[in-house]
Amino acid sequence: MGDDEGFHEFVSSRSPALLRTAYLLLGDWELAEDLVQTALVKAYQHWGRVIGAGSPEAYVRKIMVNERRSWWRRHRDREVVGAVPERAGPDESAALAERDAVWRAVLELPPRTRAVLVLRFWEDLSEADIAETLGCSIGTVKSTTSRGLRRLQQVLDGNVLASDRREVQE
Amino acid sequence: MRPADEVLREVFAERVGERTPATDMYHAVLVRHRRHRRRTMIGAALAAVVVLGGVAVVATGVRGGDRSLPATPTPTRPAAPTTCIPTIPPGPDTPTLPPAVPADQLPAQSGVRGSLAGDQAVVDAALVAGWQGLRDSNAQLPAPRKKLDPASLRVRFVERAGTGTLALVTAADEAGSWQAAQWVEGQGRTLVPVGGSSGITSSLDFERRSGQLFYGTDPLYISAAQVCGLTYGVVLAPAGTTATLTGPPHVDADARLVPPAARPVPLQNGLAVFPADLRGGPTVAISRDGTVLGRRALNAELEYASPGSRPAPPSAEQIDAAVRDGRGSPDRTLVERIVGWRFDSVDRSTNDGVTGVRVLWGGRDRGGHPWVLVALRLPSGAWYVSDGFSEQSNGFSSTNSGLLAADRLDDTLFVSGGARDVLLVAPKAAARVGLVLSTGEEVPVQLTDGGAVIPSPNGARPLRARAYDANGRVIASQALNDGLIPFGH
Repeated sequence: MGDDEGFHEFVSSRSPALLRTAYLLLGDWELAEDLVQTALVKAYQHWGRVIGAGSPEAYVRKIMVNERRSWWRRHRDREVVGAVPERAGPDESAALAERDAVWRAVLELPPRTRAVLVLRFWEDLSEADIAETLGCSIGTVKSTTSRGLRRLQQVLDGNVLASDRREVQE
Repeated sequence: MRPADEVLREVFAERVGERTPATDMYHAVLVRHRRHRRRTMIGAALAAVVVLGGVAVVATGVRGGDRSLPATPTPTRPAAPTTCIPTIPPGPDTPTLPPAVPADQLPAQSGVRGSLAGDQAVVDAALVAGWQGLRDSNAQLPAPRKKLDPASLRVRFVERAGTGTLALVTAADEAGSWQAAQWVEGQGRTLVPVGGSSGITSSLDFERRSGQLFYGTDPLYISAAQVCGLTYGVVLAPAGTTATLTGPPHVDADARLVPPAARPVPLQNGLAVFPADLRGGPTVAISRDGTVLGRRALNAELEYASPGSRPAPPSAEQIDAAVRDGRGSPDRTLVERIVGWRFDSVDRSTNDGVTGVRVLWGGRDRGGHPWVLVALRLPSGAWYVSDGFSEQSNGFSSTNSGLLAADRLDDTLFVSGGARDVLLVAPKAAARVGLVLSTGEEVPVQLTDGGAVIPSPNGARPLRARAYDANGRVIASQALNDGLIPFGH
């Protein structure tokens, strides 16, 4: 199989999954699609080496995660920054409100924290793999995960300010 | 209460569902790869021209960028252009166009728009050059390639653009599910394809969402191109429609965003090619009977205007002076970052520049992290105010920012923050400040040179702050993260 065919097959089979991860990183489907394309273009430029390294998806994911910083900066006007809803009552609408509140809180997390949570709880990567992807220590992954979850738990517990919003530049 | 990680997994799964890419991802990637490659090659070729000093290439800038849109809008007319025909010297890295196919072997064109549409030689030249460019683009795509259908070739328009000529040629693949567009430029009847093809997509829905539509006989197309070093807006609209151009807003002295009046884009037979300043993201809307059919920023695909056309950001000297004159102990690095960030927001969203900078206060939180409150002065005298803090060496954050009227900077009480910390900066006339909590209690705040960063109290939410003069009279009261007029970014 030639490089191009291999690349074609990879894109066809993996781009939906990459797109979903990109969306969780960025919170915008159109930006996510652009981010995946950007990462795939970079991978394609070195496809032989990428294949040689044995895990093209990990390579592309790594580019995506590290590209998202500049993307986030470039498109920060499209970030969803809003108030966290008040807690709702114990019924189905409460569950929906709870998930909505958590999603909004995820969008308000610093990009690096959001990336760690996405890799850990969506991609199910190990802490070591996340550290490799982000180029940081396992300890940093652990502390960032803990900090992110603590923040989300605050939302779930209702101990977060409706006006507590942050824009972050990294 | 369920643990956060459990809810988070549910949220992630719920949000992404079974979503798949809206575009043909493989071909989109190859097209972008090819554009990047060509940009690099042409850049090298143009550099060779400069080194050899042989060919008088007027600085069109167009040959080196994505041809669907100019890479760098040029606000001023170049001096005495002698030619606008992009010329590329032969060389090992120079893209080689496929042999030209004579116009009489290509489909006859009808319904071509533009003031030059009646000149058959110009239309033929555009057709030939467009087909060359489209075939060249396609040939550079790795297999499996789409097979272009020459019968689908359409010269969409040929129009004068200053001293040059601009044309747009489109083609589809044999399945009719994939489109490509090619800019063609030159002077008179001497036309060449410039840059890579564009507009390639397999999804009509995606085209509609992006405001571009080539399918059918009534294209809806809003874009920009550079010809002879000048930037032009390009609008192709269906019959019976009108187009309007809206520039970026201006901030008045009362900190109100004042949108400029939309001005009509003069469509001639559904086409307009007009000089355009892309700074601030001017937008074109195409309407029929009051219904907007498409709206798109002229520079929607651009990174942004070239540095040369942007207003100058505050200088290092201005920042030094602002830090020196600021209350508290402002961290210069953080001030510079916040100022740069907010300057970009002003530049990106308005027609305004920044005429001055003030640091209202600077200090540190309990963890030793720097916090600042800065204000950028706009031409009207209004201010764009932003707090900022840094918890790590390469990152900085903000919890609150917005516009403030011209005369309000020194008598406004600023209170911003969230679950962890609260920043308070008092009016100059304040003798003391108190923080009002959700319990109703008012906690006195120990100010340092007019400001403070305090931890959010446990078990109670900070709601607002009050500032008092020396006689104990309330001179300002401000809700948390309020008092500033929200601003685009």
